[in-house]
Amino acid sequence: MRCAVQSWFEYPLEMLCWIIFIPLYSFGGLLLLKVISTQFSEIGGWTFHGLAFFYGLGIVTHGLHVIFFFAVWHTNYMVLNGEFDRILLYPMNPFFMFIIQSFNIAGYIDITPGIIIFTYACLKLNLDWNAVAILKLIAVLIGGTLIRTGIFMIAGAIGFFRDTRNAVTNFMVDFLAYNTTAFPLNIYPYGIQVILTFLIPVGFINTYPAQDFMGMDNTFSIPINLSLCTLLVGIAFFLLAYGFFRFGLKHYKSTGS
Amino acid sequence: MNKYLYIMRIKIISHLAYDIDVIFPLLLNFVWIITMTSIWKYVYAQNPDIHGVSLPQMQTYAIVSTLVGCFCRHEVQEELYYRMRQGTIAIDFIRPMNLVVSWLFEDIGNMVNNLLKNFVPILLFAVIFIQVPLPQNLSIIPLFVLSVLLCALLLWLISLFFGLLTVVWVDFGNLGVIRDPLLKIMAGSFVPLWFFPGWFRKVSDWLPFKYTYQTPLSIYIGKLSMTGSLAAVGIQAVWITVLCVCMYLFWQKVKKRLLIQGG
Repeated sequence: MRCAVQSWFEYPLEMLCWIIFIPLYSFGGLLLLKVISTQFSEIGGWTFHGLAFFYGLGIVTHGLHVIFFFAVWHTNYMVLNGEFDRILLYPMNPFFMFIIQSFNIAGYIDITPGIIIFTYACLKLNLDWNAVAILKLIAVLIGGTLIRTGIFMIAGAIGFFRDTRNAVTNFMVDFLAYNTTAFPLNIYPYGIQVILTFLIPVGFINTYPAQDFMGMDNTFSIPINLSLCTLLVGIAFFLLAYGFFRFGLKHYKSTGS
Repeated sequence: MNKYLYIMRIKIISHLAYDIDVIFPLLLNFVWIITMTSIWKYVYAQNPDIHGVSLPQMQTYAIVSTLVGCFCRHEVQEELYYRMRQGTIAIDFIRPMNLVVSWLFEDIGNMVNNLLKNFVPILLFAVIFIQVPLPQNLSIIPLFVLSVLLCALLLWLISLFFGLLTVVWVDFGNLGVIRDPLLKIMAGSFVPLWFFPGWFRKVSDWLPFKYTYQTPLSIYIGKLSMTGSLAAVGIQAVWITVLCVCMYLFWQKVKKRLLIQGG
């Protein structure tokens, strides 16, 4: 783990590049939301501050995911390079080994703009932060992080079946960052909302929790509390993805060399 | 000339190596079309006419933006970054050709390849699920095509700039990650700049980004008048000339620096 941290400081200036880029991207997304939300007054109940809350929440879970589970983004490259073989040689659970290898301290760059946007939105919205709300927030953060990780585990595990230069993972990076957690799901047609809720549960990362915190209605009128639901969906989806990863691992054939 | 065409051909072939690598980027384009058109439907449900542009026009804007975007995907910046990191750029210098021109042809290969792979599926998807992206006025098409080609060249020069910057500042890592969000917002490929507040538009008037995506797209949906379109294309050409001269000077500098570094 110490090695993983140190290797990040190998190119200290590269860090600087990320320090410029990631906030640029995060605040850029917020600017787009601002520009779009000035075009409508109250449709679907999203105000700009509500959208900022939603958006900030999404980035915070992304940051947590990147800090703890960044390894899953590189599964395909490790398979193609044959590096994955090395991991299988350790006398430990390969998945555990895989995760521990890349504890990613640099994720703080990802999470900081998220925390800033989220705090700003909370201040503007005058939410009541009692004990229940804080517990709910923790549940949502854990759930959202697990959902994100599960998605990338499945995306990576596809590389065990077919050779790919990380295409599925790259797809998911953009899909999550720009298409589904940057805009609330209720802008989409009904059919797509069904897919994004029940098949790939991205709605639970930030759309439904944000709606819960703001007391808004959701499309499917899910009866359980949405924040609690996020945690449950997160755990279930993570276990499912883990199962798929293990299943993929059995199919794994080394690229040789 | 043949050697450049050979480079182009190699690029085309190497991109078709893995099937998943073809399918998923295509899928992402579909997702983008859905996202953009859904947002515009949502926004226009309240306000049927924003800045003199209707919903069908805006949907056409989104579809054509995706098509132009899949066409103009260049790799010069990433390539330079990897070659720099792995040191293979030294071998490039041994090759008996003008390096910048060979990079340009690599990317023309990429563009031909993108066009073959993505254009028809994306267009079909848009026609079936959204609408037929017809231009406001058919006579505008030649100007639109010219504008797209200039847009492609302008985007390539911007990529080259960031690529050369990567060569000079190796330690900064992959500077492309800074270019992408800049383009995403300032080029109007997603939200056109006329939606943005005044100060933002004033800044963007003086930068080349606006003349990449927004110019051909505005011409296509008829947001710009005929004279406005001609003027915009003229400004595109001016920017290309300016950037070409700058890149030439920059490249001469970079070449010297690199040779000195190599001892």
